[in-house]
Amino acid sequence: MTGTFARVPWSRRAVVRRLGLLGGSLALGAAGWQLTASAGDRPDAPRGRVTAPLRLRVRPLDLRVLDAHHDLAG
Amino acid sequence: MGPPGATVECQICPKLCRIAPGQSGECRVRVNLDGALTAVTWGFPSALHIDPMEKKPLFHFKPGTPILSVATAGCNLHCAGCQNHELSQGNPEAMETWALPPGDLVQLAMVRGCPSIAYTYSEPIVYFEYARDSAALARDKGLSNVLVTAGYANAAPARELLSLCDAANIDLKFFDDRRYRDVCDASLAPVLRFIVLAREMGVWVELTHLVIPTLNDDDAVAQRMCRWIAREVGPETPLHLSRFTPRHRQKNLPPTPSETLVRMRALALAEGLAHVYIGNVPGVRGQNTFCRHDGELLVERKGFHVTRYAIDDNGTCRHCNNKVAGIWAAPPGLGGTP
Repeated sequence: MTGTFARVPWSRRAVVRRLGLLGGSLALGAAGWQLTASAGDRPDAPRGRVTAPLRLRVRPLDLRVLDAHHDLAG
Repeated sequence: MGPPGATVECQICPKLCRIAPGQSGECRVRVNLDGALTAVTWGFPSALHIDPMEKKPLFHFKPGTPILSVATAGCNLHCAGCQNHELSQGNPEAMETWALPPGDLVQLAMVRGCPSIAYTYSEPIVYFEYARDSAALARDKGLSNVLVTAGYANAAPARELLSLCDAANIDLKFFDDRRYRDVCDASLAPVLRFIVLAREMGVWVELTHLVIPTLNDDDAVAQRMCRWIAREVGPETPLHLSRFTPRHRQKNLPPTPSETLVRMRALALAEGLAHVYIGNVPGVRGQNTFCRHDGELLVERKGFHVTRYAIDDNGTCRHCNNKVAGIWAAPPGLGGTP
């Protein structure tokens, strides 16, 4: 499902950032470095996981799960 | 959708994650696949149960009725004491799931006699498209939709999802921005905006405040929170004070003592809130609903079961005929349709 509420950022700040990244990439390219974006703006935030190609563990639905005891909150 | 290889910005919540191709946002379930932000758990829930309405908890909305409760993996918050962390903080690829598109979910609710569906357990904001599409179908079929959420969403998606919901239980985890940032990786202001928006849109709102020893059991802060609720959301907004049990990264803290919950309930009542409940503590006073006008017992609960019900079909107290805040229907076995 294609997600809603998304955009490709292309603000002046993004242009400056991309130019900065390009310059950095060129500078580091010789050493084989690659700059990539990471999700989140906090240094201690969990990093986005590389999930493509995505492989969900899909199982047949056993309807007994509906009435099974569980301890999930909410 | 951008060109393949483009970074995309997810605008579903205030974090505004910039997501490079092949990566997910902080929620782990909104993924940039070839330049398109993709909600990878759409139609793939990992939790599915029929619960009593009281478990959400919603005490003033169709009490005693069963509610089909669904969740996918993922959450945009990272609460240290998350009570459902296996589901909310897990990678969607690491847990079992079922293929259950919105049409099948709604059909399941109808076949099993559930008049409502809850989007709950993890965070419906991050599986926004699945919740929205299911809620739209459910409404068409005459079912109610219930959102159980931390309320950390941007205005546009929040408005769209709330427009399809009849009731919401919203977590107000702290009344302190620093605590929200330190413990949950979120912030207070968007949550307060979400709560007010839900009320303004006519959604029936109940609030849950998980009381965690040493983090949010301070009387002065609780007093400020209750005043804000009474002023901005209304004094008849039910507040659920829930007991914390040590989980996830907060196993160092003790369970909330019953006395703390009783003290905070008294404080909230003194601040003018009419309906304050204690959750996760069986047997403690604070589970029943009383009329705010004549003090009569309206709804008696034993655990998640309703054992007595004294509200008329038009939502008034059977003793004094005053309106009781909420959306009422007699529970099955106590005058309602089984």
